[in-house]
Amino acid sequence: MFITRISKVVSFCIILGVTNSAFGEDEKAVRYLLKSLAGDYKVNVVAILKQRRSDDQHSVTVKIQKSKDGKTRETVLSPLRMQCEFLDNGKTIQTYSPDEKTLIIQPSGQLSQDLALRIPLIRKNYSLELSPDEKVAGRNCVVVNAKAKYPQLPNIRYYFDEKTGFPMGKETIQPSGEPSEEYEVLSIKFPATLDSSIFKMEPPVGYETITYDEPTKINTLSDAAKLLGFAPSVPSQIPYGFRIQRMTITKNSQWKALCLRLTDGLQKVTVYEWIPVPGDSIKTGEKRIIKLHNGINIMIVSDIDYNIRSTILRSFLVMADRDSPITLARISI
Amino acid sequence: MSCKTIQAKLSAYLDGEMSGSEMQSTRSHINRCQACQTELNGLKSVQMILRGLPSVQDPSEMLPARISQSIVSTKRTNLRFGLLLALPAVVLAVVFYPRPRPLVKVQNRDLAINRQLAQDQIFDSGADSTLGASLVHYTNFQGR
Repeated sequence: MFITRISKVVSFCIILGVTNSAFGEDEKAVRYLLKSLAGDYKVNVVAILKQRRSDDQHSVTVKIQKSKDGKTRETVLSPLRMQCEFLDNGKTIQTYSPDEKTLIIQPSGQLSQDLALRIPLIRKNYSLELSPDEKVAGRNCVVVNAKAKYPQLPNIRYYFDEKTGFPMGKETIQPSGEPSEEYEVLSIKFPATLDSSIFKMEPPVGYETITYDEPTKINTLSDAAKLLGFAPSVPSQIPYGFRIQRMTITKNSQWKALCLRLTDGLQKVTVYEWIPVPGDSIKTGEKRIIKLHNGINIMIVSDIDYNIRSTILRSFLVMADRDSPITLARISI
Repeated sequence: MSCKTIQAKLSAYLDGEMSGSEMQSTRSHINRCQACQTELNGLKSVQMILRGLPSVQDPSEMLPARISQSIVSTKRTNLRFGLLLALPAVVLAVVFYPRPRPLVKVQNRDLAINRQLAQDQIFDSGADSTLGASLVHYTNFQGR
């Protein structure tokens, strides 16, 4: 896996025509982003970080232990009510929740990284600039500003450890100037070795194991329609420079839904479409908006701003209505 | 701490409104005490309802309990008279009790959707080891 990651980075450096001797400001920023996208830090890492979201009352402190070859263990230290352990070995993610006494085993998302799509999208939708270096947790950091070309989208500032490229901090700044999400490494070490037992999950006796299969990957809408039993609504153009990254169908006997992963390179959105069953009470929530349209539930899930989510959802609703006259103004979300 | 003390504080425990040491001692007690675990699960169900997730007991499950409760209370007053009353009541209840709508199935489906969504979002976050996003992917999917 480690070699695969290295080869990914090398090939993309070649694709981008980037060499060590030719790094300009933009290329240097891209180089750090690439390193982070590939999770390729070439060192073992033990770090404590804190994340805050503007809509959360409490910040979350997480301990992360990451090996050179990409294995990761994450432990939520506080608040205690959110305490849990993750182990990602590149093939599966194991999540142990002591409150629920459950161990969830599912495929690792690392399997679906898509640098070939994301790097060009980042270049298209963001301008990358470097700010003067700053210190985070005593480490010298390269500061990369990703300024969104669509003024409605937030700007993102990243702090990368200068020597290893490890992400030391991130700030998401809304167009209003308000920070909506930030995380910061509080302390970090780069030990020469990590005990192999760190990357083994051994929950206490009496836990329940739940296994989730990787969703079925779909390549065409006609294939999706055959499996779903309805023609999904997918617009040919998605607002704010978002593109479809991946199309899958859930492997769940109780809920068969189309999942569309969208990205503008840095931000992520998922759109789900399914036929509702009478009595379903899945509702619009903090991070999701649902609209029932022409007998199909279309739901968008994302951390991005509500208005952005609404606009993207509208593009799906309009597509669903392509056979009947309807205007954007008639759709209120 | 006694069960009574713990149970009085479960709401604060779930809301993270305790100090670290208090949280630890509460968690430690809950892990050992079945009664407090049950109480905690009940409280979680209430929170789920408040979040808009229905937690409705299947009427068909409630029926036998109601009948037996009815019979027991009748015994206390007058066994024979009670039986005379209870038997027709049982017959009437069985005949006229409305067929339960598939509330449990719907609830299970909602839970299945929410759980699948959570797993799907973890999978999606895991695909993005970028920029620290995956470091906190568990907390990110909460509330979605």
